[in-house]
Amino acid sequence: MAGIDATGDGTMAIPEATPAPEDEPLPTPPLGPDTTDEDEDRRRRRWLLLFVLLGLLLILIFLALWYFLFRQPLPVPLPNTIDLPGYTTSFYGADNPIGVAVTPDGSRIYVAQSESDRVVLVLDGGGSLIAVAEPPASTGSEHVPVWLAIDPLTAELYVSDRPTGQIHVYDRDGAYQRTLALPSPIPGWQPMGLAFDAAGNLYVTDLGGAAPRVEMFDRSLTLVRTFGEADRLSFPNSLAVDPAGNVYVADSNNGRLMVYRPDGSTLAQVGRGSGKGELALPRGVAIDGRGRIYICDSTGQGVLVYRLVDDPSPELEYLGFFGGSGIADGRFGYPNGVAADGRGRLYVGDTTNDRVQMWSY
Amino acid sequence: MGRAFGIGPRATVAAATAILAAWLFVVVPSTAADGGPHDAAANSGISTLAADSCAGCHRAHTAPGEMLVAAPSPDELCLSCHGSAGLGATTDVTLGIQFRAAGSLSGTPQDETDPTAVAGALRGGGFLSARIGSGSDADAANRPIRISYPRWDATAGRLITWFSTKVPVLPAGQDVTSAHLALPGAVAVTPTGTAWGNGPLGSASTGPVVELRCASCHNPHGNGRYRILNPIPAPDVISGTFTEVASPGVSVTDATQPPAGEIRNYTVIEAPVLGDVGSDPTAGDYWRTYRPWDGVPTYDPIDPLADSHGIVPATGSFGDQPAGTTGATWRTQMTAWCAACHTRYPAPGSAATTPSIDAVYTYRHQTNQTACTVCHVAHGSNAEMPGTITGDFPYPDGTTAASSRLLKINNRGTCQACHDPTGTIPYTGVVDNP
Repeated sequence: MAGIDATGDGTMAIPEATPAPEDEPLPTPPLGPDTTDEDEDRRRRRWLLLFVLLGLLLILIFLALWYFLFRQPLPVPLPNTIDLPGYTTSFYGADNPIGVAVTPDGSRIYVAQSESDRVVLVLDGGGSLIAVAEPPASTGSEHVPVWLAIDPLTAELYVSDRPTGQIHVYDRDGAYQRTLALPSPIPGWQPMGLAFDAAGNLYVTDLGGAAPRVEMFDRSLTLVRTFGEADRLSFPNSLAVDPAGNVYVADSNNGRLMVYRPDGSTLAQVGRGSGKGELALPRGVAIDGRGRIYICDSTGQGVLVYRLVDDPSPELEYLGFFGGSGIADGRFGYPNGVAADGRGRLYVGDTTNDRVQMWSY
Repeated sequence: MGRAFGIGPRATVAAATAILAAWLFVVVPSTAADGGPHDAAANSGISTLAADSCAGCHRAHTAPGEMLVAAPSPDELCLSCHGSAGLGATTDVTLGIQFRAAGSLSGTPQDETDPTAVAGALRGGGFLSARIGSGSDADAANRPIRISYPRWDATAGRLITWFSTKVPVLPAGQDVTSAHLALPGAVAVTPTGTAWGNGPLGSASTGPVVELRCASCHNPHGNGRYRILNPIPAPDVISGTFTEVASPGVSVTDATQPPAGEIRNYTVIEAPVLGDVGSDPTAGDYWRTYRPWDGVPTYDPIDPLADSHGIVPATGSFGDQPAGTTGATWRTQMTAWCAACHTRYPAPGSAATTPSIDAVYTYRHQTNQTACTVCHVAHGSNAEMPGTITGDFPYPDGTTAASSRLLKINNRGTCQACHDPTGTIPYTGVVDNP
């Protein structure tokens, strides 16, 4: 630093470069008269900066405490997005899974596998197998669990069994409880899809009887009403009920998604086709907490997303599609079941790929 | 091309459109003729050119599979409905199950009072499991038995007692031990892939190696023929030379169209023997060809519609053959269809004693009286062949395998069912009806 501003007038004085004698020490440059004051100014600026930073830190800590103690929804209007979920992960080990169900908190995932030992797998929220829900030996014959539903009032798992034409009930951990016995048996009953409304009424698609139809049972399993007969349903599979009581039915072999009002009258429908939003072979139906409707299209190799709009007339607005044919992550092989938990996650039974895929927002 | 014939481009387009329209008008009625689920009218409710059911399986520009199928594997497409969950069909070809259909059985012996969803077993068996009561001595209720029944003897002019064999339907499926198609999950099936005896008599090889798919034998669009069978079966050839049956192939006449949802023609659910007819799925008989198609049979040997056993169908049609066809014609057609691939197997009645010119298939079991489907199932059999003969006796190419050869009874029970070398049945005569 020698020679810098040594003149005191702001100009630089470059000392003359004279070789120093080997036996003499180097001359000490003279200290300027303002050096001490400058250091003190620097120290004061540093202390000031330190105080400012400490103040900011205290303010941030205070804001953080205030936020955690008194936080409120941010008053920022969220856009009405129609984004689609993204692929998250897969749970392998289910042999030809059909129906899928999940508890609202996502802590239990149920998977009906239709091949090998044909049981319902009970997975925890991380996808680890924790139990197997087996049909009672007393029912004899072969069993194929197909569609699942969770009773919102008891958290029990309902499983439709295709060959026996029965519905078995298990607790949330897969322990067999009972087989449904209707107080007034329905001749030729072939229950398939299962769903509950918020009040705990049970909805069933029935392939037997005089014509395929949807049946609604109250808590005592008394048949309250049937509907869909006039629509000539063909192999109706899964179904779901929205908070308003509208019933969404996958009319599979007709390639339709039928929406019925709570009284059983037709509200809306989507038909078969190869255009955007049209169906091929719909099987699974699920509704998430934001009212988005998910249809698992088996030969369409993916999931279509809709929402019910009422303007100018009730119809299903197509929001998008995710999936595609294949074995890679996010690709499907004849998917069937779909379920939504309360955390923005979707679970899809990827049937011929022998896995359950999780998608999330 | 249009200019070559002296017509303008517009005329060419118009002519092409007219030809296409005419072709479609010709095709649509034939594809709608089957009456099964592969009927355009059944899928869409209409039979016009605006039918939209094509989109259930095909994509015009984005199909990942052959034939514009919206899936990589056509077989998996078939199983998405006909698989073990029965999500889209009453015929489950994997487990060999026939489900009941809605709206079709009211007022019949298999009516709605029966709570089970399963009506019986598929006659063709299943690719993973089948319900053929093929013969465990430890399970007396579910193994082949010999039965007797009254029969009118025209020569004697009186009722006599006749004996036959009954192969019951099991209450639950068993793993198959042989199948025409090796599905993933089949635990005891090792098909050789050889189309045994394909080619003309005298061919050098025992048959080419082929791979079958559902569409090798069935026409998914419907063709108005029995079981929508292709007149010319077309397996994928792996090695060797596969000789196709000459065009137009072999047609097996289908039934007069049954009521919508009628499923009994596919199913082993009834037995023809008086007193054995019932709605219990296990009352069926996998062995005998005589099964009423449309109603409860009665016994009246004087009735001109009665068969040789004196059994009269409810509405004039009986037997394994479809309604409206005769048994002899159907059996001939059925055997001829199987022989479209196994060409060196069909043989006249003298084939057991008269050598053919074929070095491999010199002597053959006669097939002129009995359809192949009397002894064999088409899809898969759960019969067990632990005996030394099956495991040791080689196939025509010299290989050995403990396959049940699609037969219906364990070991050589199939032979005994007709020929009874044990002598426990009065083979040469009949017993007077007491």
